[in-house]
Formats: sequence, C-alpha cells, structure tokens
Amino acid sequence: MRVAVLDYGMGNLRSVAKALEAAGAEVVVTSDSADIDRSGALCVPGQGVFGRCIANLAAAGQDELVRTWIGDERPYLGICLGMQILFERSEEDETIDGLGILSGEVRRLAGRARPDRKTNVGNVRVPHMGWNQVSGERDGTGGEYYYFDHSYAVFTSDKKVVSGWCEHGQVFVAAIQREEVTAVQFHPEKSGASGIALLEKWLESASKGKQR
Amino acid sequence: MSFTVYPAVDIAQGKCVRLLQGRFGTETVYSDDPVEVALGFAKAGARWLHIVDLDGARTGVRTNREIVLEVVAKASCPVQAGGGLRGIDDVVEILAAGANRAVLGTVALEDPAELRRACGRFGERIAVSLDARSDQLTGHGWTVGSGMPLLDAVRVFEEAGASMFIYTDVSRDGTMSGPNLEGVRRLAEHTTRPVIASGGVATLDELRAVARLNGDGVRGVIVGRALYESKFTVMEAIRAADEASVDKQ
Repeated sequence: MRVAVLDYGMGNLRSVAKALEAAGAEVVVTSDSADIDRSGALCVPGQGVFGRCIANLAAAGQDELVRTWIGDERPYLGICLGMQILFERSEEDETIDGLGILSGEVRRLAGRARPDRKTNVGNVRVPHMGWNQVSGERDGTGGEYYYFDHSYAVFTSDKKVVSGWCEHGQVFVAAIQREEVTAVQFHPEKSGASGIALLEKWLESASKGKQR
Repeated sequence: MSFTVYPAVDIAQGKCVRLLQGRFGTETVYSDDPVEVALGFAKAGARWLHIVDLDGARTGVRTNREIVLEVVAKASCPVQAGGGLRGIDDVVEILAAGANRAVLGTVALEDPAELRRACGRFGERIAVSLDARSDQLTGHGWTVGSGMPLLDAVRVFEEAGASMFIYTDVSRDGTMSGPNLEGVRRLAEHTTRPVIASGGVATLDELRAVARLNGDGVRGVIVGRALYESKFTVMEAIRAADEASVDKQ
C-alpha cells in the first residue's frame, strides 16, 4: 500500500516514514496534492502548536484536502496533532478553528509543568512525556503501552468514536476510530514493536477500505 | 513502566565505544556503525535510548553530530541525546531532529544562565548530567574537575529549572564493578527531580538493585558495556527492572 505522509512544515517526518515502511508500506513524504491523490492512504503526523499547524494547512490548501479525503472515506491516520486538528477547537489557540470533522475539543491537561519541590505529592507533570497504557481499544490491542509526548488532549462526548483511553492525572482520548479515520494521541513511530503492530493493523484495514 | 532501562550508545570518532572510567584512550570499540547499534537496541525492545557524542562532550566540537542526528531521527523509540550540547541552538537542533530529551552537562556547570534559558524554554525536555568523581562534579567529558560538590551543584541546577538528573559515578563507568547504589540513593533523596543512574551495572541483580530505588526517586538506569558484552539482553534488563520496581511506584 502506498501511503502519503503529509509534509506541512511541522517537524521531523523521518521516524514516521521509517515506521510505516517497517510496517510494510510504500511511503512518500509529500505536500503535493496530486501525489497525495495517487496514494492509497494518508498519514498526517504532527508536532508543535495547534494554531500554527492549522494555519500551515490552510495556507497550502491542505485543510480542504484533508476534509475531502476524509469525506471520500479514504484511509486516514492522524498522529498527535494530526488527530487534534480533526476536532472543533483547541485551548492551545482559540483564535483559529479546528477542521471540525469530529465533535469535541482539545484541552490542556491539568497539571503543573514542574513538581512542587516541597511536597511533590500527587503531582502530574505536563507535558505528558513517556510510555503509558492505552485501554479500551475495540479491536484487540487493548492494554498496550505507547509513547506519549503532549500537553493537550482530546475530550469528546461522542464516545462512539473513541477506541482507546489513557490516564495521566485525568482520563483523555488516546485513540479514535470512525469509518476510515484512525487517529492516535501517542506516537506509534516511537513506540517500538507496539507502534509497528498498530501501523500494520491500520495498513491492513486501509487496504480493505475504499481505494481510488 | 515507571523505571526505564536506557541502553547507551557512546560515539567516539564515528565508532560505537565504551570508555573505562571516563578516560579517553581506554575505549573498547564495539562497532563501526553506531546507527545500526542504536536502531538494533530499539528493535530489540528498548523503550528509550541514551546516545552520547563523546568527542563533543570532551571538546565541545560535535564531531559525531551527523550520526547522533541520524539516530534520533530514525529510532523507533524515544531518545535522549547529549555530548557537546553547549547552548540553546544545539538543543533546538537536536530536538527538532527528533530527540525526545537533550542532556546538558558542561554548559550547566559553566553557564548556569544558559541552562536556565534552556530549561525555561524546553522544560522536561532537558536533563542535566551529573558526572561525579569522588562527589565532585566534572565537565568536558569527565576530563575536568569543577571543584563543585555534587549536592551543591544539584541545588544550583534545580534553581535553574532542571527537571531531571542523570547521575554517573565516573569511577564505576565501564568497569562493570557494580553501581554506586549509595551515591545514587543519596542524590535521589536530596532532590525531588527524577534521577537516572549510570555506571557500573554488570548483572541483572545489580540492575534490580537500582530498580528497587524506584520509590526513592531513581527512575532509570543507563546500561552500556554489560549489553555489549552480552551479560544480558535488552529485554532481560527491561523485565528485571519492571519486576524489581513494580511494588514501589
């Protein structure tokens, strides 16, 4: 399966490309819409800041590309910010709307950036950086550990789309599955064998999905 | 999961090496291809990697920069990287390339203001390396004593915003003579920040002994020579650490 990894100027994409290749995909890292259209599946990774991410997408017309892609029910994988942008809005930047493809919003994890030096008790460090367990995945990978690196997370009342939960001080959405949209808050490309297994599963389901 | 085993990849002149007690010229070369070694550890199940440009640490010139950047970009697990990161620009570069944590040592000793700026900007993505010889901190790849007592330095670095420490007992490093459990426990008691221990682990029992300090704030251990000399595997180390640390979260 040929997978387009969307290059929209938001950081290092090599590890994502490499992990997808390890999972068996033919990978092209590109910002070219024709090139993307020729691909069987689209992966939108992301690191950085929500507002800049949306702005970068919009500047290149890629927000419409993502909307159309998902509207056409073609296989999509969002990683970290690539998941958050699908929702309506984010506390990280309230001056700009998310793509609004899924209902819900992105909020800052409660916690402090530094431990209290005197007590250090019950302290939740934000960003949430490290390996954590994802539970409640619908299709057999529940209980796996993945690597997280984020300060903001998705909160939604539309529980049907949630395929994985994680807890870091509070429970937040770790994974989304709706039709051909797969999205994860964690980084499968940094999650070793568990990450590769997840990507393999996505590729398998993507290859059964709607193709052009 | 609350205690992490970090396989170490130290690079000198393009090769993957281990030094003995931090002394240059004592190195054993384990591979000519550090990238392959690092990616191999990740593939073998490592949950984190620890990678150091030894020439960078000693001289401040990051001779092995390209190799380090390649590892952090390609690794299938998170990576902490250090050695010759002397300022914000170096930190920016290595994090942008894909490193998950930057390790600062010499700059913390010599330019606390720069450490403060780095911690202010990158927070938990900065770890400070405490390389101690007889309770005195060293810099420049362990070659220069600072005259600063370890525990005093820790206070200074905490004030500057350091959120994690990596403690190396240089006299044990590469010796496989057992970790300095007392030293690392004392440090962990002294600070509320997580501590990663490094140096001397040769057996799974020694690794378990470090992992049992989990409840005192020791959150990981860096293992080098023992892996290269096949005393145990990455997964054996991870399993031993998980078991030993599980009862004390």
